[in-house]
Amino acid sequence: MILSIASGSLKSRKSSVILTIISLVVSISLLLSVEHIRSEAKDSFGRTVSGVDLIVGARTGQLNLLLYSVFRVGNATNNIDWATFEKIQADELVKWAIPVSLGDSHKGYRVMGTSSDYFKHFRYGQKQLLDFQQGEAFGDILQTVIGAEVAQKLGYQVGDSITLSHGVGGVSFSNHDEAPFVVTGILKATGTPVDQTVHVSLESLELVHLPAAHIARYVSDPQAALNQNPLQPKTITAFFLGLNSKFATFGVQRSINNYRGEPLLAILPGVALAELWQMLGTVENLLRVISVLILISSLFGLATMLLASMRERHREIAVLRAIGAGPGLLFVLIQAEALLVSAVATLLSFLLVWLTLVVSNEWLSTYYGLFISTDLLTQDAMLIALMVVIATSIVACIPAIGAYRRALHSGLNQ
Amino acid sequence: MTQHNTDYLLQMRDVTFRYQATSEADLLAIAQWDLRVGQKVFLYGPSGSGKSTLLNLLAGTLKPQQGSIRILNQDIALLSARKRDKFRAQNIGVVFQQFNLIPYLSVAQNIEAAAWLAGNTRADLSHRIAQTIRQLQLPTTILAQQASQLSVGQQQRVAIARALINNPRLMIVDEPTSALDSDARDSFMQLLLQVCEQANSTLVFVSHDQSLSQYFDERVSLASLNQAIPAKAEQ
Repeated sequence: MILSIASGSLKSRKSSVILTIISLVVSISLLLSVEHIRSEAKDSFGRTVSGVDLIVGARTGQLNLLLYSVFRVGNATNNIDWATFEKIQADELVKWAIPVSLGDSHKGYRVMGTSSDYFKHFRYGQKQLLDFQQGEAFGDILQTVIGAEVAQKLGYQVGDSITLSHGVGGVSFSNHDEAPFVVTGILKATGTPVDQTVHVSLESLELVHLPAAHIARYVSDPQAALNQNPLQPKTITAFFLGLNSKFATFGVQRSINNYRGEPLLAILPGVALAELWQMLGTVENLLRVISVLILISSLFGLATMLLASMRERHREIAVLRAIGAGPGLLFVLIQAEALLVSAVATLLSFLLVWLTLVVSNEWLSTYYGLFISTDLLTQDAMLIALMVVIATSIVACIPAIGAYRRALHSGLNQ
Repeated sequence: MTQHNTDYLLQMRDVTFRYQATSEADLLAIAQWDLRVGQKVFLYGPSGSGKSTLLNLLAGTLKPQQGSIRILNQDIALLSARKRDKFRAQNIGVVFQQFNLIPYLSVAQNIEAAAWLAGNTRADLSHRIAQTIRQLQLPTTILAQQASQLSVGQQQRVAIARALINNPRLMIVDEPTSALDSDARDSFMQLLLQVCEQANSTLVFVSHDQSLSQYFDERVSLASLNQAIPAKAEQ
């Protein structure tokens, strides 16, 4: 009965109720999306690297090493000697090692020199290997494998020819024009920085940094030139290690950190990612606070709407009193109206955010490599819904107490 | 007036009321006022004579400072607020001057709400509602209509139907005809007296319009009833 009275009352004030619902839908949707994207971004962060036991670079901060080796953000402070890499690779505890050499770019996308082991061992997400949507890994010098976003944005196909630039800016004054690369493969989208990377072999990187005259020989007759003058990388930026046993991780980390040949730093990617996420947590909390504030202001809008309606409802209150309603029932009635409005708004918000995710999912993964789950019914989302209900009930006490007092004091007087 | 039943429905004794306990003078002071079961009384009182206050006291929405108000042998001033509300729902039917119905509910819902508040859960409730509506010479198609779509005359009849649904022992009717034209007023009065007679309900009919007293055998002036001096403006 209370519900049918409450819903009848709301229907009779359609326009103001609809406006209030819209305002609530906007704020609840915002809160839901912020929360959803936050947890998805956190997941996506964790996806960037998996199956790598240690990341090794020249001694620097843990975050700096993670940022430049995995996220291709910033620059290495120093390089590692190739001999050091070979020595650690040969350790019996090491299962595989992937060298990484950064410093060049192609139209703003980072170029990463590596070995073909990269495609065999590097994993992301749920321990997935990199997959090709077209072509295959580079085998020879002056061949390249590009990430999904690079291919998509620049419109490259397998067989296309590209040139690298020295340095990492979008525009470079030093282009390696003499040594064009052929695209041999395009990777599938991963939702990680791999999508934005141009992969080449370490030898190729060595080659493009030779004097122009030398490059010409390799370009005209690669085999003869290689036989005469093999390309040997002298330094790399960092390397990823896979170990034979997880239990060896800390031991290997310690021995690398204590390496006598040169100052090195070995980090556990999971620990570094967690630290990075903690730093970004401030931004996340800010977003959260803003959306909660917007929600609160919408709820006060709801209370204002109900309070304003009390003005024209004193006759209704007198009628309800006359047929035996107590002041408590009027309190409950106003609460029911507020809760109905916010329940409808919450349902609509879930629907809206879910629809937006479903519609934009394809587009986000294709164009931005963002993989956002459409599963909204998480525990966090339920918690938000519960929080909205509780907050509504608290705020609705203002008009509800007004109705209670009106009912108590004015009795049957209209 | 012939009285078949000697039981009293209402017995007021030494009732005094003032809005603020600190007020100097009482608004109402009634030494004795009794109504027998089935009695129909015209209570005359110009505005400002304390009419509303008396009605609120009878309905139990106000409590007297002193004295006892016994309805059906129950001193309602001694009941808790919650029990007074329930008592009103079950035993007292109230019809106002105007705005008797909740405008956004259907006629049926308006009457059902009254039944619900009285805890009236009889199985044939909808049948009884239709019966009452017919008794008040309204078409049953009106039940599905929103109260706000009804004419004032129709609304006042529905108000009586709503007040009757729980078979109240006491009907309090406050200026119900002031919004009606004279023809409608006459048929309304006939109907009201008829249904109260059928239900054997005691009727307290309040008005400032002395011409309506012709329908009643008994008339009381609030001014003679109320010994408080001087009567203050009603709230």
